[in-house]
Amino acid sequence: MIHVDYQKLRGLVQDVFERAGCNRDEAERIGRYLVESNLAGHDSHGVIRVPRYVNWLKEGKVVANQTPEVAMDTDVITVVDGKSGFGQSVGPFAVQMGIDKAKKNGASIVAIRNSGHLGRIGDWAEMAAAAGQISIHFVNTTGLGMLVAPFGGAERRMSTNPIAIGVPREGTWPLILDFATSIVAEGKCLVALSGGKPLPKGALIDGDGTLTEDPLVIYGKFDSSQPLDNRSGSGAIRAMGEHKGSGLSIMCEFLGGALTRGGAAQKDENKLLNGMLSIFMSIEAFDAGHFFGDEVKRYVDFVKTAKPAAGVDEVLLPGEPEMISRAKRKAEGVPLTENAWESILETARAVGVPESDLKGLEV
Amino acid sequence: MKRFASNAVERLATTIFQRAGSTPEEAATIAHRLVDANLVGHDSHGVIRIPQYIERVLAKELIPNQTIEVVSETDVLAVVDGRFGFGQTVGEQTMRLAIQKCTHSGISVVALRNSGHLGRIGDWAIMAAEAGKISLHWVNTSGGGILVAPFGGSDRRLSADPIAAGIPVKGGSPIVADLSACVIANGKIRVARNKGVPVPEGCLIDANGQPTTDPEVFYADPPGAILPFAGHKGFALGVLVETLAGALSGGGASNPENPSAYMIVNNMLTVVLDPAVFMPEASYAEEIDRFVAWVKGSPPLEEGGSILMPGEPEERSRADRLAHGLEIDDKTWDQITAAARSVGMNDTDVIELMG
Repeated sequence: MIHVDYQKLRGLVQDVFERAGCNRDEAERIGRYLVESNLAGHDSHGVIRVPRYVNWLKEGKVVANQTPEVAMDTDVITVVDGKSGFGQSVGPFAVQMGIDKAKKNGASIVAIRNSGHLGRIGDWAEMAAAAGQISIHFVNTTGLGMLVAPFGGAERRMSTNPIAIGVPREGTWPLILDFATSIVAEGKCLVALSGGKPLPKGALIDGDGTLTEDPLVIYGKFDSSQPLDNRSGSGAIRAMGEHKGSGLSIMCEFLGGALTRGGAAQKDENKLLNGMLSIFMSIEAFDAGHFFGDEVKRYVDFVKTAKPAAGVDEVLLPGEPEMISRAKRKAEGVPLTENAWESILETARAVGVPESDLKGLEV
Repeated sequence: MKRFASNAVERLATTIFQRAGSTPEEAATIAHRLVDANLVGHDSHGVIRIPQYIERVLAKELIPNQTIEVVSETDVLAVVDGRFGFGQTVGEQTMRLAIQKCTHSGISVVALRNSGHLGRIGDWAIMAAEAGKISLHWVNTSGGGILVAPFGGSDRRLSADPIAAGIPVKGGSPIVADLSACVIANGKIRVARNKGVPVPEGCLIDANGQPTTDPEVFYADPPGAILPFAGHKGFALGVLVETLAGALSGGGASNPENPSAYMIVNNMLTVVLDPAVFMPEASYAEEIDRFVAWVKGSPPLEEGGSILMPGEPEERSRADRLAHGLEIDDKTWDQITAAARSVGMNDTDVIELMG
């Protein structure tokens, strides 16, 4: 395992994307959001994505410096077409519109379609929370990320379809729920494949219906000289919590896909496009009695003081493992497997980052 | 175990609630929703609740014939207080308001507090779907239903915290996901206890945090707890449901110290969306139909099996139970007849109503 200084890592990723054709602001955002995922401990959505993002950019599957189109704009509804722009640009643009409208009108909905990979969805919940708002997000992909079998089925029909919810708290970090509705996100399969944390038992199902945790059923084969293709395997990731997660995943397809008009998952897609339906709520618009802030504080204390289960030190709140990870990794550097780090350096060299800039990044 | 025609059970339930003080309309609504929960296979939210509701009416903790109070509202949102009325009445009034605002603004968000037990939350998603709307619902209790341990914890800190979502389908039954953030519904433990059977593994822990399948443990002193579904994910969902439904509505997140903690008070946050605002009706219908067919085309794991969309098991159960009647175990039946007696009915009344 290699540890890289997070600020230097941000700088490197920014440099890679500037050289690959993004303007400075966009490249800075990509660096910031990807490294933020690593800091939060969500390595699957972090810099491990750099080689793939650069490949997509080269292949024209994601467009640098794209201006999203506002396809619908009422007092409380915004529909944004990302036109295959980077999610790190489409996301902040659309989320800011949602926040502004909820500030003015109490609540608003934003439907995003055709966005490049939106990254860690918790980012958008954190952005709304920083503006003092509650937000709820449902995400799908149009098909390239189709990896999940419905409950009772053996073949992929849905994407990993994350859901995020953010709740701001007075004077401290927000509560952030952020999970894939599959047992694991695809990135966790990538991490397992490149020698990182193994997958939980039975997280996957192979083509003939047997439960497994071998990521090869997703990727078919692992040849480090070839780009990975998650369409090469015949297996699928299973939905979290059996029928319940399967139901949530299907709802993400309807909300993030059908309603945004980006489309629910379908086969033969070769671009990764995300759709996201987001709900923003201004707390003041509901909370005339100023009950909310104190009640959340009381409830959080109530949950934290539960008697820990055997072998557990402390009950952790949604968003707390990420806070702990952030502090640790800012201090100790971002851990990356040698495979992952090597493929990032390889990508950096390929876009012309000078060798001298690739030295001294490790902690 | 007894088997009854659903309309006979509905007739009996209607009479019981009427005798307890509900108007004929309210009594019929409550009876209809409870029996419907049995029909769709959610026995935990069905007529097994009659004794509990009646007990609470007699204790003046649940108030018949209430009207919601609109605490605040704009074109797009509202905060309403159910004034401890029957959830079947309060929920319907709240959903009518939410649907109306959504028709006007394209979306709406309504926070309901201090409602009696809202029953099966999927009902409210179906009500919105019948009006052509997509809806999302988050529900908690203020303190009377603290049942679930946190992930990594060993005593109760959360409600069952159900969520529901409904997608209208042109010319068909809506797709309705309706799930609690815990592994097993409280009512299902009660059903197991009344039947004298164990609950499935991985659902319950005892007061020491040890896994168990014995439903009695849940009612012991000190009591056991239900586990969140899917580990930390279901726990996170539960915490956020408490916050969205309880804290934002003003009804309160789970709190044993809440003044209303001795009652079953539900709070619900509802978001309603009008798909017609986002796209032409035909495009919406086409995409829903395409995706449903696509999902159902995943080869079933079990030979001869089929992939069921959310809400489909319920529709199948309804067809079966309408044809073959409802099974009610003896203990539950005794509790229901005792509830009937407690509102002044005698055994002859019950026999006559059951035909």
